[in-house]
Amino acid sequence: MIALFIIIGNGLLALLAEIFKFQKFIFNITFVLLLAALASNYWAWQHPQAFAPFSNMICFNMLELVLSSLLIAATILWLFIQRASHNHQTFGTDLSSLILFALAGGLLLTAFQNLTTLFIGVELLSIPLYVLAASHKNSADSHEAGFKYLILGAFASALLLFGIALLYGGAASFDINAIQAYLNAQANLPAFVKMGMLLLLIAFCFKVAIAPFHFWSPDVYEGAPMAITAFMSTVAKTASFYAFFKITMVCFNAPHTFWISMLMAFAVLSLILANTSALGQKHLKRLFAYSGISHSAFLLLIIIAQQKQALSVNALIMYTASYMLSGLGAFAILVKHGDVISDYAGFAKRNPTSAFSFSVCLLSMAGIPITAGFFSKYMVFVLLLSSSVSIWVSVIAIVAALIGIYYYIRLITQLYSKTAEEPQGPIQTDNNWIALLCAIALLVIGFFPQSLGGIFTF
Amino acid sequence: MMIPLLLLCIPLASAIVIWSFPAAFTGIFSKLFAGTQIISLLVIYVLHFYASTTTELQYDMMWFNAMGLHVSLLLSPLSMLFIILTSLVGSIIVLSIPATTSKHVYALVFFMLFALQGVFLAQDGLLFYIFWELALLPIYFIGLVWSDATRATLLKFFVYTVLGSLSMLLGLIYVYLHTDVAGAHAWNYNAMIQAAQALQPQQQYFVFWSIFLAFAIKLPLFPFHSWQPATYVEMPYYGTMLLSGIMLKMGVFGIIHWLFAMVPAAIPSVQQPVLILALIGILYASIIAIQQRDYKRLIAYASMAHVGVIVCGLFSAHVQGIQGALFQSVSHGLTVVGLLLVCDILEHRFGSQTISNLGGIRNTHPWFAVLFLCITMGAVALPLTSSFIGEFLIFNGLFSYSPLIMGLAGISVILGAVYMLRSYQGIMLGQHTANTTATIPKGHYILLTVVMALIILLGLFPKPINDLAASAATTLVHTLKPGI
Repeated sequence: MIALFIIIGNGLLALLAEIFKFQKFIFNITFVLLLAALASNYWAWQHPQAFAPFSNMICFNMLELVLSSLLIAATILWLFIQRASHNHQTFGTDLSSLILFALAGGLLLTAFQNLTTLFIGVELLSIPLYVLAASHKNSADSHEAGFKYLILGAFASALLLFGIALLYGGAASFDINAIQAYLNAQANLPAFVKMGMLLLLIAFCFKVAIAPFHFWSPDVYEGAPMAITAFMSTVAKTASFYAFFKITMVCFNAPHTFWISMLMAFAVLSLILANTSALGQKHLKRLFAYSGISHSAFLLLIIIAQQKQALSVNALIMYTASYMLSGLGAFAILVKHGDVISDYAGFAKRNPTSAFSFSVCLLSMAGIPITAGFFSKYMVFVLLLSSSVSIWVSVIAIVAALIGIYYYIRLITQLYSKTAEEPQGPIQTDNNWIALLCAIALLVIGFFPQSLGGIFTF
Repeated sequence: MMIPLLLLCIPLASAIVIWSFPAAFTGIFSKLFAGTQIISLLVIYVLHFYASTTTELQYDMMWFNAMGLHVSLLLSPLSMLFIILTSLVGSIIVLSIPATTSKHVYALVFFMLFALQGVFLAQDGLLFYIFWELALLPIYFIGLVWSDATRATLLKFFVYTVLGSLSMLLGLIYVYLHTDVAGAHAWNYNAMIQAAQALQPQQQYFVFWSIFLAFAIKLPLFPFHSWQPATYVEMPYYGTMLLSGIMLKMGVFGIIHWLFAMVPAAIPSVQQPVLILALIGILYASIIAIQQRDYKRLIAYASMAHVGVIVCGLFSAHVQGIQGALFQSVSHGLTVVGLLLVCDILEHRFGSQTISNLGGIRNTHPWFAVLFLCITMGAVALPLTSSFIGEFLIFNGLFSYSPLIMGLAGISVILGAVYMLRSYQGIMLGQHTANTTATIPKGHYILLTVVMALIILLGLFPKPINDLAASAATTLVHTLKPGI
């Protein structure tokens, strides 16, 4: 709760920086205030209290605290990636305030108790990103990305609104607990309420880029500035997913589970499409866009499994944490070395440390022990196999994971390949400590999976 | 309690020390740690007789509470057998790495020994899987960074192996979800065995094939072998030694320790298809081996044929067959490492590993010829060598299952003699065509002598290994009996 205020206040402060000429300090201020937001979350964790401010519009319980802390921590890491990128000489004040507002939207998406807050969160997260995607002013690609993102994002928002309106028509309330009570009480739902639920879910499928609503993501990722892509593919996607998870787990759960088969079809389609499309990519941004769709599908499987509350929550935390860490680690490399895959031939000879970090991130994405990614994939499989979902979905997920391993390992093979020409100049010691930090964090979580994968035991 | 943990820590600590010290220390450290490996093996071998209770051979620590995952290790007779193989062959491999190699290679080899010993000690389903996967990474990176292996070969090797692993993970999770220890699922070995044995026959088949795929690819068994020849040929010698000497035995171990114990009721009905696959593999690999001109490629196919015989022994599901398969695993590890050492010398000292380019080496290097002959005889399974005992037991067990299959598998001995002796003849006898001034380093002579001595010693006094194999096989057949 306090964290949300700190972040919004920080965003407003960043807007003032241009007027009162303290642009130079805005990076440090943001860094310190985000740490303070983390600390306030920790304090709230230590002093739990039942408290639903703004007439029960939002609520920061234990789960929301953990999820929002993950988002804030990822944004802190992202700040350093942004600083290292070539595109912006200085840490622009407009950029920092937009990102902070987006993060505030992300926090609202974890904490919403009401569909209006949900919609505000979605818009607060998306609108700054439409602007930022087009922020590379001299690049037509960037403009195209921003425009595409805006049109398709607005389309998804419209679906979301329409869905909310239809739900309100049935439940006569925006409150998710009231809606749940309404859904539980009905033996047969009216068709328009079912429609509303499906529209809402489809809107989320748009936001987290699940096939067949994924077409925007590779183009937008490719066109947007590298650092913005890093933010979109990690923090923004994860935040949307938290809302997706909450709405399905809290609001749409039993007895009306007709929508599961639709999501299952989407997940299977995403797993197949994303992984096969990723095979032929020549640019890392597009590759990570497609692999991101595959990761979204794995996250969707957690929802589909609809099993054991504690286990799915733990799996969600584990999966999103390892996904954000490996994504940020990889983008920390990408902002410095570009996104053309063929440029990475013999990369390890020139940058041994960066190659190590990159490899660990890729191994984690592939789900190879003993990285965090292994345990997150493993938890998804346990959830899936212990649910009533057909075993063939698990088999398809296994095959998809295997194709994923193929292109990640091919990339590692590329990093360590022996090029004909010797590396120019001495071995660089570019202190890409963000990537190294992500890699070490992935290994540490892999060694101590209990730390993230066992937080909740209810 | 500390014994199994010690077995894991020694190679891991060796890897870390070599990695962190400057390259100048690598030579001395690697010899030192290889020695430590052998000495600790001897100490533990002696100790495990005196361990009064099994608790001293056990280690258990909670790791991932929420998922019921423990670090659980047990030094059973079966594990002891494979630990002996790993430490012995592993030390020989470390000592055979050329001194000019990067220190990272040494560290990775020790790390791989750590993972392999973990596979052989793990008493927890997921821990077994994690070590199984960890063992793949070092050999992949060795091939990737420090060898001439092409990218396509390595990629095929990695993806093929992971295909098996993921299928195994599916099967293991499936069994895990049927376990029930005080209301929760557990990865514990005993719990998993209990749960798997209680499954319906249909489910048992599913578990068998999904897990068996991983082992079949690792071994490799006939239709899953296409990654093997190219990988064996293109890897550096120590890499191939690791792959064929130790890593492949993970499959043998897995079949016995996990598969047979978990789904004994499924074994009688899968026996025949697996035996037929193994037979096809034996004959196919032998016939291709006969036609090889390249000695290393010949060894790759010979290894596949020998593994086929081991699988035949396992799936005879007869106490002597399994005992023989275990004994043969150790024996094959020694002979294949010996043959690859010879191959290393041929390529790097005599300038070629193509048989037709060599010849007459016996005239200039008589002692090398003697060692090579002894190891060749070991591969052919001549009496008084270790392989004879293993193969004899295997055929004995196989005979009790089906004399016909035993007869067909027996052809492999004849074909084996054909390709091993012909290649020996082509390389060592006849006219001088090879580089006669080549010198063979002393280190290689010593290692070859050690390998030869071990092959003959085990042929004469098989008791230490055989007792372990017999004890493991008897326990296992006891489990299998109700099913058969």
